[in-house]
Amino acid sequence: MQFKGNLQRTVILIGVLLASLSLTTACSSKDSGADKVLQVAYGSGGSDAQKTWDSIAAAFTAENPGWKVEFQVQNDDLYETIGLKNLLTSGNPPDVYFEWAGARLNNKNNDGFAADITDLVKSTGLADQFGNGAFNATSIDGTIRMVPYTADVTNVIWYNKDIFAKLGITPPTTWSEMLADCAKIKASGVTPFGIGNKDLWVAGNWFGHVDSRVAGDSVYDQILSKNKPLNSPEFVKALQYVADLHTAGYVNASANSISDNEGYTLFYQGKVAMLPIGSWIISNQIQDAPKLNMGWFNLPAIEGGAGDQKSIMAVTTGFIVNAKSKKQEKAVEFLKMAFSPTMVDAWIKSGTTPVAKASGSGSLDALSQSMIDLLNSGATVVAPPDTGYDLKMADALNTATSEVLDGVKTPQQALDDAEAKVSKS
Amino acid sequence: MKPTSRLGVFILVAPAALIYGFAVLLPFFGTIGLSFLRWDGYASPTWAGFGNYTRALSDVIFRSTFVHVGIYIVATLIVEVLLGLLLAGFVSSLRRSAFYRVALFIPVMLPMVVIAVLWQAIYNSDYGILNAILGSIGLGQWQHIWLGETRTALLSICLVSGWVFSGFYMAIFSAALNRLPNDVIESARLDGSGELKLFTKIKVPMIRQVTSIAILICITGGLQGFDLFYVLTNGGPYHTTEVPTTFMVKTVFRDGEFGYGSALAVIVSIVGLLTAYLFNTWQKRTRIEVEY
Repeated sequence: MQFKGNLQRTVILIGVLLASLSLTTACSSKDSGADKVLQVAYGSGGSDAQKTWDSIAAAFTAENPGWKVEFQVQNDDLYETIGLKNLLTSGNPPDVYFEWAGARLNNKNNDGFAADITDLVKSTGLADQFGNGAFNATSIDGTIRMVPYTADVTNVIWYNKDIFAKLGITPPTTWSEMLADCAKIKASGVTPFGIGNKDLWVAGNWFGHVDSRVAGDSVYDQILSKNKPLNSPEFVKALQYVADLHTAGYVNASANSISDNEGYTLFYQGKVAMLPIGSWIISNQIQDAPKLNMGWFNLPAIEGGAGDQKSIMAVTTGFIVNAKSKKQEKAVEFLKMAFSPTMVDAWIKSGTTPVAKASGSGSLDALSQSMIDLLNSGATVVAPPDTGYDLKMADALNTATSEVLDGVKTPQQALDDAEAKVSKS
Repeated sequence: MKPTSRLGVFILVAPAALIYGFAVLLPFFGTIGLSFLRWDGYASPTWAGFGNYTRALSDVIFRSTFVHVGIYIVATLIVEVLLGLLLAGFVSSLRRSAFYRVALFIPVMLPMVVIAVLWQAIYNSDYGILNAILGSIGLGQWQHIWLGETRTALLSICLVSGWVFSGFYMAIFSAALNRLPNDVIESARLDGSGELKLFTKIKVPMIRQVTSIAILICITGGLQGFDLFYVLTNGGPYHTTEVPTTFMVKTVFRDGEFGYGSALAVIVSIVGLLTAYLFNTWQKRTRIEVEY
């Protein structure tokens, strides 16, 4: 009966283990259930940004004895796709989380994950830390649903100043001038434009901006909001500009096969003269190609286009207080601290361009400052297809754009197929 | 020694059964359940019936993924299994083969994502080594945008797969060839059989069972192929290298369509099981007993 004896011991051991496990679980749930822990979720912004977060958490704990801040940090891409969804529906959802303004914010609001923080933002004084109109992009039906974090220009055209100087050309102000410049650049043996569009959003942002200039920002918004079909004549006309660039050979032939980073490399190596991309290239260039003499110009005015021809393509990001959180007041206090003038200075030093006001001691490099000046220029702000609208719509439009960019479909064919895809889903 | 009570049996089986239940059965039945719902991950799911399945069957991109994966499997049967068999034949004919075995097996040990990034650089049409070599030896007309042209993208992925897994199949075939009885080989040699004839007429038929398993692994592994496709082309250009797995991942993780993605997963699983079943049935019918 040795086996029986062993069995009894095994049963007792398992029992002890289970009891220990239950006790541990109970203790840990008691800890997390103390309701003095603020959970904050976002996609990783790098080590400098994390240092800023850590200093904010330390300051918050010092001002609120007994309170603790825990960060739920994920890889950027993971966070944008499935990560945040998992966090919000998990047993330990964040009290505060990062999001993009536009369709994503609207979805969170519709799904009941965005608290109305209008009164708290005003009563705590958080509103005073921002300039006029800062909450416009983060409000829904007159109620504040998000605290703005950064405003990023997602598309301007960066150019190699040395190549431009050598060829005696200046940044164009109209599309025709730009085409004339492209002809000169191509004749010199350099490809005018270089992009890495394997993931579709790069050309999607650039030509989304062109679409909005040709169709007008209002029609652009109607189409991407599914109030007009994707194959509307305005977009067909807009994609003809893409087709013309392809026919002229003004965009690198490898565009659809290389990643955004490989596109940056072409620009840094001087193999292409211009790179249409967002403001984030500044920190990347400082690190990877510090000697590159780089400037920028906004998308040139398109003759015969509609709407504001000085429009900016940009996106606002921010932090939402979870409507299901029982710590909304503390969450807003935390955000007030995160965007205090002192912390804004720290954000600037970490390479971020926050919307909130700085104390004045934070200093930006000239290019970053020029991006902020562009945002504050008063021009119409157009949202990019991928972060401003439904992802499926963005994917259909971006796929059509990539097909036209490679010359495998005409604008009409590509947009007809895109519309068919969207209407079926 | 046998357990003396039913309780003992249950206790001993419980840990494995629990792990299997949570890791396999729960997701399996959960996926089937989800496939009948419409759910974006947040809001309350709504009943979709067979809606997700009818949508999948009429989805042109999803249907095309089976064509792409079919081409991939056929190509990998050649560049992985057949090449692996030939390499094994070559290596086993050498007196000192350890170096070749290790060299050919090294790619199998590297993480697939590392391999994909490496080959992405090789295939890069602007500064990749492949186009540079072709240009330098006067074959400029053969230069391509390897991962960006519809004609070359899928083929390029197949070649990388062959570079990696031919070593894996070589190892399997080498082990089988080394097990062959010497007396048969020596008899064939005494009868005047050359090395080529010995390989094709004696050795290969004698490892038929191993070859069958290798083919089955290649087919089922091909259906599961993901990492190379994801890193090298992400399904592009214009879905011409889209395979079921990349399409499923986009559907669920990018578009947030959990129900539809689950229906796709169920269909892919059925296709995989059906393929394996048909292959096994064919194997049984055509089996010739030459086993040693």
